[in-house]
Amino acid sequence: MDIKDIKILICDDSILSRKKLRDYISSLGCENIYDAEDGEDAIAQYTNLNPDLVFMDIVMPRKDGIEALRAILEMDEEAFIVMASSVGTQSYLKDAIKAGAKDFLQKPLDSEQVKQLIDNFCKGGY
Amino acid sequence: MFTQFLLSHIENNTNIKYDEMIDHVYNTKEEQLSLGILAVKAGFMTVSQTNRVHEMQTKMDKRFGNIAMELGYLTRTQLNELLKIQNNNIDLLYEALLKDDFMKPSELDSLIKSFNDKYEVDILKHNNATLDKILKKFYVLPECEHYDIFFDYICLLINNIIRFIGDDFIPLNPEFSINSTSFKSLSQKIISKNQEYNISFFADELTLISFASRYSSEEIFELNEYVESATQDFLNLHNGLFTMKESKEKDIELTLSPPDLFKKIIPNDTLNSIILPFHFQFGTIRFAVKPFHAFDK
Repeated sequence: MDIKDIKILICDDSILSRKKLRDYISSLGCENIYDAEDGEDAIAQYTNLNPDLVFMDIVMPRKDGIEALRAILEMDEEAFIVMASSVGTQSYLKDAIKAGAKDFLQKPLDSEQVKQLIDNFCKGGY
Repeated sequence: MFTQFLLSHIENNTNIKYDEMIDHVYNTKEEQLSLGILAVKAGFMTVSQTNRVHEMQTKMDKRFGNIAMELGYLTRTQLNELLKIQNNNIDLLYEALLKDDFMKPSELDSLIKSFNDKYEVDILKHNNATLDKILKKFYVLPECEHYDIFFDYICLLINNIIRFIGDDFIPLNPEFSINSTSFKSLSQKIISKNQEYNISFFADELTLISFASRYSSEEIFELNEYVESATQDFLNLHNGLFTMKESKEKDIELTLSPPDLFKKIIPNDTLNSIILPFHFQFGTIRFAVKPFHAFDK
């Protein structure tokens, strides 16, 4: 799969984090990047857009990232969701992986890690 | 971290103003000798290797030298050599303060002596225990049951301010109430099994704009959503690193609430809290932290 053809949804309550990740992914050549500002918004956006890859923050108002992850996977068990959070405690990690997250990225995001993850995704390496 | 406390002591005991001192000291480039710069200068590491270590430092509370060794960039002998040079940073600060007759040698010697007496340390031969002693005397908490957790929190906070905002600040004496209502604040809760702890961050509008510009490396000129977002991000990042540290080192599971939106701070917001001010040239940022009880596992 080519990066310019994939649809990516970034779910983060921080507009700055969304902008930084969007700018970076866009610089890699991705042309279809969408935003959601909390877990509820992510579920709605996922339903409408059916993205290929989701970056999901954990600590968010209204509905947190783990709840949103579970809800999305209930609708689509093939959903490819990567958690991206500054809170990488054991329990958050366990909850995320147990709920079906494909990977976990520690914030602030390392551009190399994001690139590697997207490259692997495009090559079907997950 | 030692230099900031020494500068604070000098300000408290002379007529020199904070901004004057920050300007003088941090414009003396030698003062900013980081381990990374020293490693590059010594030919031990490349710039991209130091960048890689700095990037990793934003994700874990580990020292530059330890990460560089783990990645195989530095040997123990090289690290020791660099630390020896870096420890002379106090010497460089000393030189900077005397440069251009900013201070008289006898006055500075006397202030270093009174600093050493006050904190029961020898700043010129400092080590990790020195920092412990300084912090415990600088941030006196009359009613704190568990000073160690609070100390962990402050130590990490100062490290994160240095990493993400810069080291050109002076810690001001702790405060116990707010004397202005013009501050904007936002807060986040650290939640343990038995308690919730509200951590507030506050500053005036212009300071918040400069703070957000530095944190985000973006040019921001007005109080807008990016300022709010950058401030929330910093608080969330710092508290996230704190919860990770408690989880890894003490097996304590803490969670965080999402950071609030900006609001006007009122005195009740900081009731029973200790307020930690840090003065940069662009303004003073403050954190209000309630003393922690023991966290239940």
